[in-house]
Amino acid sequence: MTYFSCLHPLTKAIYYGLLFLCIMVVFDPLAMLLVLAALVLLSPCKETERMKGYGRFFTVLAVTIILINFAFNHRGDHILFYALDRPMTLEALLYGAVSALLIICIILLFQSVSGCIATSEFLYLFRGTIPEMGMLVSMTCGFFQAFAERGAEIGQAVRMKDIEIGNGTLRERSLAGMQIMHVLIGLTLENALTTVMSMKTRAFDMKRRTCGTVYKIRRRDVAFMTVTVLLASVVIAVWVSGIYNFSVYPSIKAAPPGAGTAAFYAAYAGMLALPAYRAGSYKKKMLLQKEGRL
Amino acid sequence: MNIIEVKDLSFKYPDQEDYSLKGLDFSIEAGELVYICGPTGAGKSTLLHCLKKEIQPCGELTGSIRFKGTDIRMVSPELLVRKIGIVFQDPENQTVMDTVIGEIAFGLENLGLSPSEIRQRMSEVAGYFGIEPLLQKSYRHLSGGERQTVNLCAVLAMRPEVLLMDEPVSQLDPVAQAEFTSMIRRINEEFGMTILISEHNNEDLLASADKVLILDGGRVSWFGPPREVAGKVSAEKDHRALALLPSPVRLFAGAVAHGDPLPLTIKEARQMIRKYPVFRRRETPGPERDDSIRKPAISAENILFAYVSEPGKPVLKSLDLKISEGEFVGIAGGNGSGKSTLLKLLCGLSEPLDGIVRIGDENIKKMKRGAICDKIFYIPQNPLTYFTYDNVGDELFEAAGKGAAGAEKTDAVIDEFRLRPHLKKHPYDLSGGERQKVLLACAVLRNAGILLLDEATKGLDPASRQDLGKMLSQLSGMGKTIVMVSHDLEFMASFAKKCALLFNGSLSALMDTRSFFRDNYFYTTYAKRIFRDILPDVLTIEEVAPDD
Repeated sequence: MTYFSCLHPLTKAIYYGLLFLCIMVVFDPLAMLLVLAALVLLSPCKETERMKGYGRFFTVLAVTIILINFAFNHRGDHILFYALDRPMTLEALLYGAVSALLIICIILLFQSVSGCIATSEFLYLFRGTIPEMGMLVSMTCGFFQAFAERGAEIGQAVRMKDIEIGNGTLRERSLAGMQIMHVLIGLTLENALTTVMSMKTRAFDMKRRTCGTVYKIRRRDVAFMTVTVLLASVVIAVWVSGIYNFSVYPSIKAAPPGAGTAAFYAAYAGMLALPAYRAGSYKKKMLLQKEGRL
Repeated sequence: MNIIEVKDLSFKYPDQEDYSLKGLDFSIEAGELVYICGPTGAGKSTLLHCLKKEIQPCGELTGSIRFKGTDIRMVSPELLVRKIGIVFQDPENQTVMDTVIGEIAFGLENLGLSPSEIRQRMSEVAGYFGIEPLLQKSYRHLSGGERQTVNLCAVLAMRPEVLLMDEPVSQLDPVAQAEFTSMIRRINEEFGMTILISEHNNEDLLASADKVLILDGGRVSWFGPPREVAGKVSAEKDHRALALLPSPVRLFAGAVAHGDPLPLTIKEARQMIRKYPVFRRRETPGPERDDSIRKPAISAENILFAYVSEPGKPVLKSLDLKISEGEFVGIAGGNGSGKSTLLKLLCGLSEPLDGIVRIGDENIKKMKRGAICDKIFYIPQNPLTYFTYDNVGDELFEAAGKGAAGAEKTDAVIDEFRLRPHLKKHPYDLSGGERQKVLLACAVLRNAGILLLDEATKGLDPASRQDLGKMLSQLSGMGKTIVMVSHDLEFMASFAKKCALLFNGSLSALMDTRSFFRDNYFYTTYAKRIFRDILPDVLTIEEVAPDD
């Protein structure tokens, strides 16, 4: 449990909501790299082996997106070479790279959400409106990790049938991937039946839900929310107003560096570093407490 | 007072011709612990699901189920959901929330209780069952036993009057099984809660039950206090029912002619043996001594293995193993001792940090995956992860294709394993025993010389375990090398030819099964516990016969 996980669910939801908005609105390669770096540090799955596994997956994903975009998109001012009489442009290449970064960032964001906001907190957030929605959002987030774990288990079992993604021609690998996905979906649905029964036997959707955990918005939550909203407003305002803009497609254009650029990156970096900063100050307090200086 | 009354209850699933439950009639008094047993497909789960109205299966239901004298159709759903709780078989899939505290609160929140009441009930349950240290943990970090305890707490927090349990310990290891069983007894004894628990073969629980309900083919074949039922089953020579009863009952069935009650526990059996010293070891032909020098099938030398997450804690260290062709080896070991890891290393699914695994004379590292698959057939702990086709037939034909088995051989194997009625079924629709049969048939069709089985008897009923054991012995007789890791000592004692114990990262010497069990005191079979100083060579109940 990190300091960030201990914050009020609403604080965390606002933080992730605004971060999601920033990622979707700001299509800037440097900012995207900044987000990626922050999400890797913030993500609950920091273990080396897991990151190694995700790293391979993300590399394949990124290369595929870049290649597809590069092959089918021919707009742009900087022509690198011609293939089959069609221009292959630098802009298409960059556009593909930024799109790949965007998708990776969104996947990592979902993982981070699922690690930092517990199911009970989701249900608390949505209890006033529709409990099913809270359950749905939470299950979707948790699904990624459970799906990956079960996929790895199946992948290992079917390797003994000589079905593996890591070996063979592209066709064989694709076929193996589809077979694993087929088993994965079937098994997941089968297991979901028990989960549904378990929910029904414990009165889900029978009455209006209450919340057992009492969450209180404290001063630290107010401070965190205020800073988050401020920083996100600066990022979006600067980007939308065009004070700072760096576009890569259909042509590479960048606003001249100035105060706007500095404000934009400072605000974005601040927003991304906020959980780590709070965790750091919390750890420092703990250390001081341990040493008897507090 | 009867808390549950079942009258002439019959149930038929829409897609089946035969009834799954046929005219059940029984009643249960408040505070009773009822042990429901029966072979796979006897209707145990269907009965429990029928008793829990919210999950009553779709189909034709006739007869009546009364809760405290009122037909459950007339009781308000809210009252019923509070008063009758259920714990399912699979500890993993019945959890809804991702943290322990969230899971316990889930049902209470659904009931619309106030936050203070929810907290009160949660703290009570967590304190009583000692799970406070787990409350903030994620489900993913709990062991199977801990998960099932949390599932039980989540149901008990709703304060049910009747607790239904559908094979709750069948997926747990023996230590977790014993702990969970004693917890069930405690709940029944200390709170007088009515408990209906279905199990295949829980020797410890049956003795403490107030009543036993034996189902067979959807009918109640026996119902009553355990000792009375044991006596009647023994007198009537109902062998199907007898197989479901504890070892002491099976041992003394037919041997006690003086109207003495049959023993239900090891302690009672030992007392009775002193009273009636009438047993001798059955003269069974022992395993044929085979001095022929066999080729090595699979070997491991000086294996060192640690998980990446815990590099400083090797699971296996300096492990050596040599298994010859045609041997049937059982490897036992505690929880987390590295049994499954060892199997994965033997088939190349994991790589050791140091040491060599050889198949025959070949280093597994230098072999291609296809070549390994031709020689080794690995059955994982969850067989469902292996099936890639939607019906059994396709699964078998694929294995036949890869093993170059002709149509004639394929047909013969299908008949031998009695799989013809299941060819069009989805593997998920088969029972645990049938799934194991399909996998063994695939192994034969694939013509793999080595079979690796990970906890193959988990969740199987006694008849399916016997079937599996006989099939494995048959395959071993055909020259296949079999390596199984298991907690099931009774199974290993009955069928394995050699055994070894995995402890502290390495294996004890591989020795023949009788020598392996000879000197064990705690880690041994029920028969050995009963006869340890009387007939020291006895390993299984089947080896003992009453004196003429």
